[in-house]
Amino acid sequence: MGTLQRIFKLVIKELHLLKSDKRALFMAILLPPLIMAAFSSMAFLSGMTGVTSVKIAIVNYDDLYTSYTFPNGTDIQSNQNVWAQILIKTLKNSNLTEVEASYNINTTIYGMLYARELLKQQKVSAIVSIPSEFSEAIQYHFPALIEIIPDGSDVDILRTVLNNLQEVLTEFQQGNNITPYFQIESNIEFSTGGSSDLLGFVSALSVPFLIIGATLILTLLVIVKEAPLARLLMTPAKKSEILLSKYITYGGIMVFQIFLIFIVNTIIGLQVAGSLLDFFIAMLLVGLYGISLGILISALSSTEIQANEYFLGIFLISVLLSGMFVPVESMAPWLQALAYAFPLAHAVPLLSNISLKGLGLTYGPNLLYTSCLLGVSLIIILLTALVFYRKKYEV
Amino acid sequence: MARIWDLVIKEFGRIKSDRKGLVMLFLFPLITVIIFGFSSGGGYQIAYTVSIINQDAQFHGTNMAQAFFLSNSTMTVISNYTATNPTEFQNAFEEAFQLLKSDQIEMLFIIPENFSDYVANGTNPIVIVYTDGSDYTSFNDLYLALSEPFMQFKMLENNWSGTIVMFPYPEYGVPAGWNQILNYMAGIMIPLIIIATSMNVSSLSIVTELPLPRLMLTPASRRDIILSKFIGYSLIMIVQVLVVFFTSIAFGLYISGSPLNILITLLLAGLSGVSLGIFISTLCSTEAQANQFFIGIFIFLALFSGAFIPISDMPAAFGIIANALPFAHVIPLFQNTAFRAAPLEFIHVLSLLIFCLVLLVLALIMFRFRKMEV
Repeated sequence: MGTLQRIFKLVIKELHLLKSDKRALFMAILLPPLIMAAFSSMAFLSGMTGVTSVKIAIVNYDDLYTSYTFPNGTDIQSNQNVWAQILIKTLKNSNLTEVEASYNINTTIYGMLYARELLKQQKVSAIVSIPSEFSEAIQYHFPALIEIIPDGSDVDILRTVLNNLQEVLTEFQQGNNITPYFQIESNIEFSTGGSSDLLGFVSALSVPFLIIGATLILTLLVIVKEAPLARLLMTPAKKSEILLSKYITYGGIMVFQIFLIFIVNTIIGLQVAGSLLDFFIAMLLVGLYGISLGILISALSSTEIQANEYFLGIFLISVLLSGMFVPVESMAPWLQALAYAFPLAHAVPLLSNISLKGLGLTYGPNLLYTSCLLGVSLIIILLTALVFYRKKYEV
Repeated sequence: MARIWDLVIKEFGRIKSDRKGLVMLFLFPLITVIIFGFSSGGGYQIAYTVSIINQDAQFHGTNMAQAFFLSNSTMTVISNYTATNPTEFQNAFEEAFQLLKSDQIEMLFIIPENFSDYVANGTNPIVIVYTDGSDYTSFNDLYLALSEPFMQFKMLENNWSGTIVMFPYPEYGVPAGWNQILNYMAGIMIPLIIIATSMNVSSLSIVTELPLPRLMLTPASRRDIILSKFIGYSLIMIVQVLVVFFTSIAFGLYISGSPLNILITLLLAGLSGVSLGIFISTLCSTEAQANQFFIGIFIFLALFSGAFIPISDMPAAFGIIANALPFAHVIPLFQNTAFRAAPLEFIHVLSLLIFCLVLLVLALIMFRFRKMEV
């Protein structure tokens, strides 16, 4: 019997082994696309909800009598509040802000205390405090200062609050011709627009995460739990053939898994700016990394519990170093080096560049990401072969 | 009680038999906290990398370009071109656009040729900006990011007309001098680690136990077995939580409220993980199935945790699902204690306890119907 025939028979054996646990096989194939379908639908529908408005409380001091000397010596004594009223109206009319409460310090002396209580109870995300010299500063062409007290406990909400308020201030300036203001002609590149944008963005993050998880778990126990492996070595089948048959079998299932995830994403509305084939190949590269790593863990472990622990550790570290939570550039240099040894640090920008920027698989920075994914996968396969060759089996 | 205690001791004996696995159990959560401990940066301020093309080589245009170099906290100028004729502009634009395309810059800022005329006439100057739409957070921050160079420009020009400045004083945030990344991520990262590790270990608790059918021949009831597993794996989880908690504190975890409340929150997260794991184990008949279920549920929990899409932005039906999962309660409990010094909110604690209880009851029901042969 030739090598090819033996490998074919071994692949058949692997498939029979897989078929013996139909429920596990069913879950391996169906769970990832089902999770992707749920998440992608959510991302797509969330993208359709449009602008996120922020709840604010306004505390207006501008009504108070102002006795103020500007830095150039100009002395102002007045109690104008015309611009504050216009700003409050702009904040109330804007779809970027939702005014929960507005206090005028002249009539509600403890307005700031009430507003702070609302912030503490998380009923508002920020307090906009309009100082007593606000209207005068605009009238006399001095910088008008506004104090914002945002909720700093969530960095994403904090950024949304500041961005929304900055945009409302621009609306306020432009709507009332408070000149000169900058007219920004904004061109957003590499964006498809609408809800598919958010889907594209979260897909670039979630697809590699899902593929790595699904492929690692698929291959994690292929060597460590195969009890008849030692007896198999008494047959003419060589270790290289056994290993190769495992790569072929699980590679085939991985391709099928990825194909289903790809189809689900496309049906739900993922628009890929680049080539669909490039996107699919990039997903396959991530899958290849996953099965290589899974089989290595399986070869390295002596018990199933150990394999599980290795898997969890590698998976968690890989997710944490992916750049999803902390930008890779913010990490210490030695951590950056470690991050680039894991697949997600390459997979996320690679998929994002293809789906949103339309870059080819080997174009610009993608060449590095592709080579790293492929190169590290090959190194892992070689390492697995080495471990598997040295592994002792007793019948 | 005595029977349950004996069964707990038996569980420990089983876990101890795989010492390498036991070490990993504590080592990996520790490594992950250390990773974040050694990270730096973070916070709410975004730093943009930018290329400038100045088509207006006159005084005001030069000041505008100069303003970007002075905006140290939000802008890093990667390249600056002066292009006063169409050919120079075309070349500069192509080069800068290439930088935008290859991720080397996040913004291309163009000062048009008539910029100085507009400024001199006191009319509103137009600027052209290209941003990277594939970086979702980056292009959303555009107006905020540009406010600093615009302010610097006004300072250089000494003309404050039409200027409105926003001064943020964030409350309940991470104070300056503390590790921003570790602290802003801790509310998601630490519960994620605890739920993942406790769920992973306990998901194999029933499915891998070969002598379990023989145990059924002893006076131990099925309820005793499930309870003993829950107690055994919870005790291991408590040690894990303590290791993660004290390591995080050693790396500068900022807690403005009671550290005990953080500890209780993490224990509740761990209990959710153990309950989920035991439930998975009763559902599955092989390790491969348990592993598939574990990863499926863990990825589902992570994707619906609010880390990818905030729960408040999710469509109503998905929001309900997310709120039924532990992260929707663990994250606010953690963040409110750490940043607001708030007491534990009863509704979140109750939700987590109900989550654990429901899963334990379901596990018990599944285990009762499970067929075992000696």
